[in-house]
Amino acid sequence: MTANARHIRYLLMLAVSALAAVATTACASDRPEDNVTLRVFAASSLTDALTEAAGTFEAENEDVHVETHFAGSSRLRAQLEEGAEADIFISAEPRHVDAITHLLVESSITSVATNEIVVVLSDSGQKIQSLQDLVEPDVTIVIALPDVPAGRYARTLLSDMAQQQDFQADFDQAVLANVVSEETNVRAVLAKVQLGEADAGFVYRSDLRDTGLRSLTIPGQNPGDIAYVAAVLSDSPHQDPAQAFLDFLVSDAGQEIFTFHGFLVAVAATP
Amino acid sequence: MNRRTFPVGLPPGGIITLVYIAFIALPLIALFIRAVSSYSLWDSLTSDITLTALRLSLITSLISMIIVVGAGIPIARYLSRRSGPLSRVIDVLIDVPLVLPPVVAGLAMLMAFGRMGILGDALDAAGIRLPFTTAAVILAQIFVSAPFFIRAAKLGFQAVPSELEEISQTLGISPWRTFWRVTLPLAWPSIVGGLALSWARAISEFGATIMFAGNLTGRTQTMPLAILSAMESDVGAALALAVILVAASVIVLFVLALAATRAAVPAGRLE
Repeated sequence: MTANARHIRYLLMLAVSALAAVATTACASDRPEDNVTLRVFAASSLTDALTEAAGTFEAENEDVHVETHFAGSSRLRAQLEEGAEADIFISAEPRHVDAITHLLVESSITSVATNEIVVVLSDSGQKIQSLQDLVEPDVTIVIALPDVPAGRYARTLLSDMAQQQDFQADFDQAVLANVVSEETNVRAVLAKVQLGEADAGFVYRSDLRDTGLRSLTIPGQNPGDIAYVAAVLSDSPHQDPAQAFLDFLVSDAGQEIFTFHGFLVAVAATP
Repeated sequence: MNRRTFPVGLPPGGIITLVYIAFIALPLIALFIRAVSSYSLWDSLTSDITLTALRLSLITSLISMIIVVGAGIPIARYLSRRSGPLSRVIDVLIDVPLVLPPVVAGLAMLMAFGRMGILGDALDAAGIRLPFTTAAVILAQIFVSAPFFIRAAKLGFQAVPSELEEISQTLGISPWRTFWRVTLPLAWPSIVGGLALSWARAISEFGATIMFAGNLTGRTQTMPLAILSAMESDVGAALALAVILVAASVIVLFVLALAATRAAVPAGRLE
């Protein structure tokens, strides 16, 4: 045997043993009696509530570990469409769930919480006392991108307001003209306001919790307009624990966690 | 067989190089294939948002590079002739932006130059507001990209034999002319190489920009920000933007590589 052949054989053996190791790990995680890791893809506005809910659920189900991955709902949907492996998808709006129902267990689709949009004001934004002040010159406003749920809801509300008597006819355009940045997620909107760099931002009511920031309520919102919708992925190897986690989220204990974090309770079970 | 080669006739280093090139090229090729097969590619390529973002990226990175080179050459030249503990401290400080996660860099810039930042009041008094402006984009690019240039240029200057500069000066040529006629040409390949790296970092800058400058079409939305924004709505548009960014970057890097080799010829003749 030449030195080269020995080299190649050595490399092959390494490769085979690496593959074997991967295969064993993969098999091991499928055995039901072992620990299960649930991968939850959730809208970033759920970060605090879901982290706590996951902790409570893990405490009650010791063999289940919940791994959370937070991002904007549309990005999560894109990742799932590109084949990202997840067990549960929780979107900040029904649209993204509707778009990928072919990847989801339809019977599992459920609303887990609701929310509403408010205008958060920075400490520096003392000049803003009412929604009408948002159109004043020199007011800096941040908002989420139009394709991010919080951004679209905010824009819809703005054009609704422009129809109302209390607001000027071009209220929506005038507010958008004061926008200095369109953020890719609602947490970034809040961060810019918290840092005092922007005077006002459109965020969810649930984002206000613990910030101590003033906010303005936007009229004309119905409970359930903004619904967080969850579903189990049909490719998930952990169907039962995944469904159990969703059941926990809509249970009284789960709903209590959501309301504690500033969300409104789930209404209208299925979109 | 007197040399260790694999049967294909390549030394181990060559094989690893091939594997590495495949590792780098495959994702890029996949990106191109997906973008080209996307029916909206041409529309995306010529859309207003694409052209606006591309123009903003090219203009801001050009201004950044003019400042980085203009200030970086004197800095690199100064540091190349110093040794001792103080200059070692300065060396490390100059490299700090390299290890900072860009988002942290952006946050730090807000803390310094933002409305609530250390210099916030002073800047405000001078009528300057940096966050959410194109100037902030440029500052963010300079912050993250300058270390690449300064580092490369410093090594280039250090590689210039000081005897050559001394000889030039004993011939009665002024230090200033010596720098232009001897030092700079000899260090040129390193300077151009550093410029290429620095520019590549500036054009791909994302985290510090979105934090410090925000994301607004036409004002602060550079190509990387446009790509992420497009991801929220249309992956096809994001792919098209990515392809343009890669193509533009590869062209610039090739031009700079050519400039570096061309420049090396007259420098060689001096000896």
